[in-house]
Amino acid sequence: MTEEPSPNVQEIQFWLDKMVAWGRADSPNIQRDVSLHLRRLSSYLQQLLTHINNLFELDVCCFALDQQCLMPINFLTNRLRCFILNFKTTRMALGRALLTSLAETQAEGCSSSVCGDCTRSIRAMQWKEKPTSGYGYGLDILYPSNTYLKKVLCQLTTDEDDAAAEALMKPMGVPPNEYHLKVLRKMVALLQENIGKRCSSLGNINQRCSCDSILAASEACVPLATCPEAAPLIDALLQRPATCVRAALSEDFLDALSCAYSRQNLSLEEQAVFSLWHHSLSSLEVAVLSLLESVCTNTGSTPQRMLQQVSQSLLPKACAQQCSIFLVVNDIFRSTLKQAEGNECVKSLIQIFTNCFLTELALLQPQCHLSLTQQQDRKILQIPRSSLPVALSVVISSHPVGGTTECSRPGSCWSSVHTGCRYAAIIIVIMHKSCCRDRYMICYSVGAGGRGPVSSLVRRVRPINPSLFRVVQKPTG
Amino acid sequence: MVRVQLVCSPQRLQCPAAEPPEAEKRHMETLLKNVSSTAELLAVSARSGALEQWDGHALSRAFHWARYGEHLFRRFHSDPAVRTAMEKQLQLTNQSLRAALPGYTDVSFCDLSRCQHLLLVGLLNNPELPVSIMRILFGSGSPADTEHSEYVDVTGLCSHIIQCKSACKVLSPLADSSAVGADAEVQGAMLMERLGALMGRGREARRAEHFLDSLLQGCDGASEHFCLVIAAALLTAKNSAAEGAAQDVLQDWLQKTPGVLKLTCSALSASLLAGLAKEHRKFREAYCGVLKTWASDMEYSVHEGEWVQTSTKTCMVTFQKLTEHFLALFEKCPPQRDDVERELNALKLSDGDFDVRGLSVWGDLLSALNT
Repeated sequence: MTEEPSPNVQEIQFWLDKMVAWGRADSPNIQRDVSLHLRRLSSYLQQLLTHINNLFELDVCCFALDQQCLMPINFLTNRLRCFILNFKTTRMALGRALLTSLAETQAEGCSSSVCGDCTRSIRAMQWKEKPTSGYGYGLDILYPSNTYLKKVLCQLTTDEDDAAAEALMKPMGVPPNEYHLKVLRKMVALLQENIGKRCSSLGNINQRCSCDSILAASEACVPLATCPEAAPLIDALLQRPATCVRAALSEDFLDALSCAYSRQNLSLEEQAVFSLWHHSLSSLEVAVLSLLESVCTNTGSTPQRMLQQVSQSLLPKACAQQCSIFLVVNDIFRSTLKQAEGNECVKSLIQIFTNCFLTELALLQPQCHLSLTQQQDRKILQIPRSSLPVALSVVISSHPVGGTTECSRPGSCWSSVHTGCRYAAIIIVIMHKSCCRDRYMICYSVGAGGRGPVSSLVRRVRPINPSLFRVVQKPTG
Repeated sequence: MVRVQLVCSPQRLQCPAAEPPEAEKRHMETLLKNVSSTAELLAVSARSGALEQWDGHALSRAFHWARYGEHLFRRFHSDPAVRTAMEKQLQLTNQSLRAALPGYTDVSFCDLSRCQHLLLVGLLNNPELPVSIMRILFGSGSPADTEHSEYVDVTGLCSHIIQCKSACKVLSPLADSSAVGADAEVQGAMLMERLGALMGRGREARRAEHFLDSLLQGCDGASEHFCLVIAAALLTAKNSAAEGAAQDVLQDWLQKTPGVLKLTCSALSASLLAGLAKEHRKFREAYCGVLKTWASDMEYSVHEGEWVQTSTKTCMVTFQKLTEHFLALFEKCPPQRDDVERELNALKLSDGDFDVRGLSVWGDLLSALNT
C-alpha cells in the first residue's frame, strides 16, 4: 500500500474560498481567474481522490479487523489515527470541493479540464456504488454525491440553454451536438478572419488598431488548448506576424499550449509549433529535453530509430528556419555534453541531429554548396571561400586530434574551424551574409579544448548583433 | 416486460424503388420493424434496469441503432408515403410502450432526427446506468469518426460535447465581427438548406412556405430571434441558383405573412436591415414600404413637440428611429436616396407642401434627412 501525501487541509479552504468567489459573479475577470487556476485545481482534485482511495483501503483494513483477520496492528492503528484526524475536515470539504468545482466552473464555460476531473470522480464513485452495510465509520461519504454528480454531468451534457435556437433546430431536424459543433466552427472561422487582418496603426503607438483583440483572443484560448476544433484559431494566433506592440500573446496562453504540447494533447501545424517555440522558451526547452530523454532512455535504439525520432521532433527544421531556436538548442546540447561525458548515446544523437539540421538548412539555402569529407573519425565540412549566403562549418570529433586551424578573414565566411578536444565537441558556426536580413555570427566551442585560436578568431570577426554573440570557453587542462 | 435484443445490428438500407413489389413490401416491413425497435431501444435505455448489464459493446450497438434511426429520418422525411407509414407504426409502438412503462413519453418521427441525443439523455438520466458506461462516455479522447463502420466508438462522447459547448461560451464574447452573431449565422444557413430541400428540384414554394409557417408558430415568444435568423438566411451568400430561389421564396413569405415583416423591421438594427436591402431588391422595396407606413401612421404631438405613433398595438418606433433607418439605408444603397426623396417630396406636395414643422410628416422627414 503506497503512502500518498495527505492533501493539505489549508489548501481545501483556499479552494473553497475561490469557488465561493467564482460563484458570486460572472465577469471576464472571474472567467480569466478560473482559466488560470484550472490546472492547479485539477491536480489538487487528483490528490484528493487518491486520498479517497486510501480511505477505501482503510475501509478494507477495518473490515479485516471486524473479521478478525491477522493484520499488523500498528499499521491499522496508524491508519485509523490519521483517518480520524482528517475525517471531520476532509469529509465535508471533499464533497463540497468536488461538487462545487463542477457546478461553478461549468457556469463559466471552462469545462474541458473539468471533464478530466469528472472521470476521476467517477472512478472514485466506483468504490461506493451501493451503500455499505455500515461499519459505523461513515465511509459512505461519497454515496449521496454519486447521484448528484451524475445529475450535474447529465445537465452539462444534455441541457440546452438557448431555447430560441432549440425551437428552430428541433423542427429542422438538427441534433444539438451537430448544431454546437457548427457554431463553434463558425466562431473559430470568424475569429481567424479577424486575426488575419493586418495591423492598421502603421506604427503609431497612440493609434488604436485591431491588434487589441489578439491578447484577448489568446487569453480566451487558454482553456481551449486541447480542443481540436480550436486548433485553427490557435494556429492563426501563433503564426500572426508580430508587427504591432499590441499584438502580444498572453503568457498563460503560451504556458497552456506548451503544457498540452509536451503531453502530446495538441496538434498544431509545423509553423505554429515553431512559432510557439519562438515565443516560449520553456516550451522549446521541454521539447529538446524530452527528445534527449526519449532517445537516451531507450537503450536499444538503432540509428534509424534515432533519426526517425529526431526528424519527428521537428527540431532540426525549426533550428534551420529560426536562428534563435538554433541558439537555444545548441546551448542545451552543449550543457548536456558537458554533463554527460562519454555518453555515447548523447554523442550519436547530437551527430544525427546535426546531420538532419544540415539537410534542412541545405533545403532552405539550395545555392550553398556543402561537401562533407570524412577523414577517419573526423568530419570536416569545407566551404568554398566564394561568398555564399550561408557558410557553415561543423566539426564533430570524438577523439583528441591535433588539428589545424584556418583563420578566417574578417567579415567573410569561415572555411573550417576545428579544435582539439578531449571529448566530443561541436562547433557550429553560422554566418549569414548581407543578403539575409539578420546578420550575426555565432561561434561556440565546447569541451575542454576551447583553444586560443578559436577565441582569437572570434575576436577578429566583428559581430553585427552583439546580443546574439556567444562564446563559451573552458580553461584548458 | 419490454426486451430489446441488441444482438443484431440494423441491416444496410437498400433503395426500395429498384425492387419488385413483393420484395418492396418485405423491405417496408423490415423498415417498420426497425423503426419500432429504435423506439423500444430509447424506452429501454431511459427506463429499464437491464442497463446494469450493459458493457462497451452493448453501448456501441445502442448508438449504432440510434444512428440508424437518424439515417431513417434523413432518408424518408421528404417522402410522404414512407413517412406516413412510419408515423403510424410509431403510434402503435408508443401505445404498447405506454401500457408497459409508466411515465413513458412518445417518440415521434421528428424525434428520430435526434435519436442519438435522445438515447444519451435517456442513459444519463437512468439511475441504473453503470459507472463503467459513464467512464466510457466521459473518458478522454474524442470519438473516432466511424460513420460507415459497424462499431460505433463513443469513448469521450460526452466530454467532447461538453468541451464544444464550453468553447462556444468562452469564444462568443469575442466573435462579434458577425452582423447577426455566429449562432444566428449557423441557424440561417441551416434554414436555407432545409428550404432548398423542401422545394426540391421543381422549386415548389408551397412546402417551404408551410414549413416557415410552422416554424413561426413554434417559436412564440422567440419570434424576434426568428427574424434575426431570417435575416441571417437572406445574408448567406448565394452559392447556387437553388439557394437564390430559396431566398426568393423566403422574401415572398416574409411579405405575405402578416406582421412578420413589420416585426423584422422593428426588431433588427437599422444597419443590418440596410445590409439586407442592399443585397435583395424585393426586400428593399418591402422595407421602404414599411418605413413609409410607419411614417404615415404618425401624428404630431404638440405636447411632446415630436411625431409619435398613433397605434401602439404593434411596434414602437420613434421619429428619430425612423430617420435613422432611412439614413442607414441611404448609406448602404446610395441610389435609393434619390428615389425615396422624390417619393417623399411627392407626398409632401400632396399634404400641401408646407415648410412649417409639424404639419406634414413627409416634410419633416425630408428636412431631418437633409440636415
